[in-house]
Amino acid sequence: MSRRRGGAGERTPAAVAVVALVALTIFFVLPLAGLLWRAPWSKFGSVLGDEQSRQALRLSLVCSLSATGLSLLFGFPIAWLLARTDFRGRSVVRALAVLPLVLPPVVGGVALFYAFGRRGLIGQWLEQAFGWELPFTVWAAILAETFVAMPFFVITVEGALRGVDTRFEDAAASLGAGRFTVMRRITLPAIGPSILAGLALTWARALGEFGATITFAGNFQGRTQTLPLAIYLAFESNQPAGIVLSLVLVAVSVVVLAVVGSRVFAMRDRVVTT
Amino acid sequence: MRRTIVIAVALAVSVSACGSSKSKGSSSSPSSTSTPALSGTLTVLAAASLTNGFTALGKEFETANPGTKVNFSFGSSSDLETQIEQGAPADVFASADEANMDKIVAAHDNATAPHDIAKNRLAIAVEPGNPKHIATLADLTKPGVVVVLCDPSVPCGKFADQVLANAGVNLTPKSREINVKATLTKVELGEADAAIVYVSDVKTSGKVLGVTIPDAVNVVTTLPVVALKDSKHAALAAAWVSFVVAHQNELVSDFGFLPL
Amino acid sequence: MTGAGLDVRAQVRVGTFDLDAAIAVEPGELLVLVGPNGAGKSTLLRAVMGLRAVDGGRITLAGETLDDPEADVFVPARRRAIGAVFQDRLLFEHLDVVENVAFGLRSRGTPRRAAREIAMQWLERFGLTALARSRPAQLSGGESQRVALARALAVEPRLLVLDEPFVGLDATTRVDVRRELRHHLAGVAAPRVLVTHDPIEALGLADRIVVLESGRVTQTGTPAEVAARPRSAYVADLLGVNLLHGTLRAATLELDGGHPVAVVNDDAITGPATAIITPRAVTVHTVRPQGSARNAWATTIADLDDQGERVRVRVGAPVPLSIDITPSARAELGLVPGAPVWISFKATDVAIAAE
Repeated sequence: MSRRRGGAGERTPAAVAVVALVALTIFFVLPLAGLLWRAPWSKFGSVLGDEQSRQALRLSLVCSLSATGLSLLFGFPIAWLLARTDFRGRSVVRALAVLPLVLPPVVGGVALFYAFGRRGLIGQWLEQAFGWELPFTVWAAILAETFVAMPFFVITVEGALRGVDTRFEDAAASLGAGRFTVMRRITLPAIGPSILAGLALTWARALGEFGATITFAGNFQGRTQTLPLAIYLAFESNQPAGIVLSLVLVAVSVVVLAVVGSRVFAMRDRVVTT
Repeated sequence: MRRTIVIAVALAVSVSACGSSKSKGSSSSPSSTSTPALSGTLTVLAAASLTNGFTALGKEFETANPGTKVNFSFGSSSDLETQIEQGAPADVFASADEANMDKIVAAHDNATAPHDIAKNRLAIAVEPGNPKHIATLADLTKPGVVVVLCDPSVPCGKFADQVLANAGVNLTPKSREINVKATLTKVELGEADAAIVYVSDVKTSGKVLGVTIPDAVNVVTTLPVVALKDSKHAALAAAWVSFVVAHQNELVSDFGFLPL
Repeated sequence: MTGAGLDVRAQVRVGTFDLDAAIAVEPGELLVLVGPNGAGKSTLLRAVMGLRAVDGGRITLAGETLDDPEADVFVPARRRAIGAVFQDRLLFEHLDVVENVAFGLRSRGTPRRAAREIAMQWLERFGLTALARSRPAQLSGGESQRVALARALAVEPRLLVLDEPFVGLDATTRVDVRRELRHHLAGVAAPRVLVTHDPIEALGLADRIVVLESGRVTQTGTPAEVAARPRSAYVADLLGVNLLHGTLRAATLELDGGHPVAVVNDDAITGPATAIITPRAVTVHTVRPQGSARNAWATTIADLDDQGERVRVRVGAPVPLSIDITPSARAELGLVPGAPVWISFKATDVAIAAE
C-alpha cells in the first residue's frame, strides 16, 4: 500500500482518470463485451474447424505479415529521406506518403486498379511485358494492405529518426564508421523500440483492412478472402460464424499487440533510465 | 384515496397520448375517406439492382407528393435483411429475391403482405464489342477469360451458381464480389471479361454488352416490396408501396426488368 | 611547421556567426583552446574533425589535405583518423565497455575477435579491465572519461581532440581526472587539442594556449606568456588578474576613465598601453594608508568571494580591481560589501606593456 504513495498515479488529476475510464468503457470495453455476450459459444468448434474460416485466417496472417514486411522494406527508406534529407518538394513527398491515411480505403482500392489493373497505368505494361495480372491475386491483397498500412510505419519511424541524438552518430563517424555502419550499429538500435511499435501498428492496420482489399483483390476463398471479408460475408448470411470469426480476429490482434507492446515499453524504459 | 385516483387518471391520459402519437406520420384529420396530405422523410432499403429504377421513381414520388422526401439505402438484399433484423430504422424493404423477403415475414417485421413489383433474370455482361467472343455460358470457361460472380451469400450469387449448375458448366471465377454492383463494376472497369448479373443491371449500365442466357437454364427471380412494421411513417410507407406497384411498368420499360 | 602536425585556417559561417581562425599544432604538442561560450570553439572543432566543411581556408594534418574548398577537397570525418573525446563522453549506451573501445577498430575493418583483444589491452592500460562487460550507464564520471579516452586512442589517431572533457564531473572527480588525463595524454605522441573554459586546466595542461573570442583568435602563446600578458578582458578574467587600459606618459598611466596610476616605465613607452596588477599585489586598508606605495585611493567593496584559502575581494569605482586577501585579514578588518576602504599597490608591482 505505502509502496505506491507519491507515484505517478498520485499526480494524475481526478478528471483525467475519470474521462479515461469512461472512454475506455464506451469505445473499447462495451463493443467487445457486446461481441462476447452474443457469441455462440457452442458453435465455436464447428466454425473454427470450418475450412473456409481456417483459410481466411491463414490468408489474413500471411497477407498482413507480408504487407508489414513490405512496409518495413519500403517505408524505412522513405522515413529516412523525410527525416534526414532536405530537398525541394519534401513536403509534397510527405503528403504523398501519408495520403493513404486520409483516403477512404475503397477509393484506395479503385486507385490501385487505375494504376495496377489490367488497363492500369503500369498494369497494362506488366501484362504485356511479363504476363502478370495483379488483380484478384493474393499479391493484390498484399499490395492493398501495404498501401493502407505503410503510412503508419513511415510516420512512426520518421518521428523517431527526428528525435535521435545525432551527436552519437558524429562520434561513430569520427571513429571511422561509414554511413551504413553508423545506421546499422548506432541509429537503428537507438530507434529500435519505435520501429517495433511502428511495425505493430502497421500490422494491425493491414490485418483489419477491408475496403481496398475487396475492391482491388476481390473476394475468393483461399486466395483473397481475408478474415475481415469472410466476417463481412458471414454476417450477410450466417450470423453466428461472423461473431466467432470476429472474436478470433480480436483475440489474435490483442495477443500480438500486448506482447509487442510490453516489449516496446520495456525497451523504452531501459533506454530512458540509462 | 383521492391521490391514487388523480395518479391513475394522469397515467391513463399519458398512455393514451403515447398511443395516439405513434401514428404521427399520418395527418391530423381522422377521416378515412379523403386522401391525407403526405409529408415526411421515408427510408427505403432496396436491393442494389433497383438502384436506378427506385431512384427515378423516388423523384417522381416526391414531385407528386410535395413535402415528402425519399432516402434510399441500396445494397445486397441479405445485407439489408440483416440490418432490418438488427433494428435499423427503415420504412420499406425491397428485395432482389423471395428468400430474403421470406425471412422478414418469418420474423414478423412486415406491416402487410409483400407485393411483387417486377421479375428479373440473369444475363452475362461483357465488355462492349465482346472482344473475348462470349456467346454461351460454356464460353466462360475458355482459358484467359476472367469471370467474376456475386458471392453465394447474396441472391445474385446463389442464382448464378444455380444457372451454371443448370447448364452443367463448371466455372471457377476469379472473384466473388459482395454485391451485384461491385460485380458489374469489374467488367465496366475492364478488370474482368465477363460477369453474371441481372438483365436489369446490364440495361441500366450502358457500359456493358449483354449476352443472353437461354431461358431453359436461366433463373427467374421475383422482386417483392413491403412496408415495415416498425416504420414511424406507416401511411407514407404504404403510399410508396402502392406507388411503386402502380408504376411497375416503368421498371420494365426503362430499367430492364421483366414484367410479372 | 613540420608535415606531421595539424595546420588549420578556417572560415566558417553558421547563421549570423562567422569564424575566421588559424591554429597549428605540432606532433607531441598539447594545444589548449579557450574562449567564452559562443566563441566558436565547437565550430572550429567540428570543422577540424570533418563534421562540417569550412567555407574558406584549408585544413591539413600530417601532410594530407583534409579540407580545401578552393581545390574542392573534402575528406569526410570517418577517413580523417582523428580521435575525439566528447563533452558528455557519448559512449554508446547499448554496447558494453569493450565493444565501445573496439568500435573504431571494427568500423575500420578489424575483425571482431582481434578488435576486442586490442580493446582489452587498452582497458588494461587504463585500469578498466574489471569494467569490460559493464554498460556505460553503470560507470562513474571518471570511469566513463577513461573509457572515452581509450576508445579514441584505440584507433591510433593522427590527432586527438578533447572537447571540454571535465564538464559534468564533480569537483573532487575533476581533480583526479585532470591528473589522470595529464598522465595519459603525456603518453600520446600525436598532436592534441583540448577545448576548455577552465583556466586551471588551460594553464596546467597546455604546451600552448589559443584564445578564441567571437570567432577570432585574440591571443596565442605559452601559458606563461598568456598569463604574463593577457590581451583581453576575457583572458584577464580567466586568469584572475587585473587588466587596465590607458595612455602612458612618463611614469603615469592615465586610465581610459581618467584615473592616474603610477608605474615604472623603464622602456620609456608612450601612448596606448596596458597594465597588469596581480590580485595579490593589492592591499586593503580601512584608513588612508601611509607608506611608500605610490598608488592609493579610496573605494568601496563591491563583493567578497570566499575561495577557501583566500578571499577574493572586488572593489568598485574609481577603478574596479580584484584583490586577494587571507580570511583572517577579512575577519580582522571586518570587511563587508558596501564598506568604504582604501586600496594601495606599488608602482613597481604594475607590469606595463605597449598595446
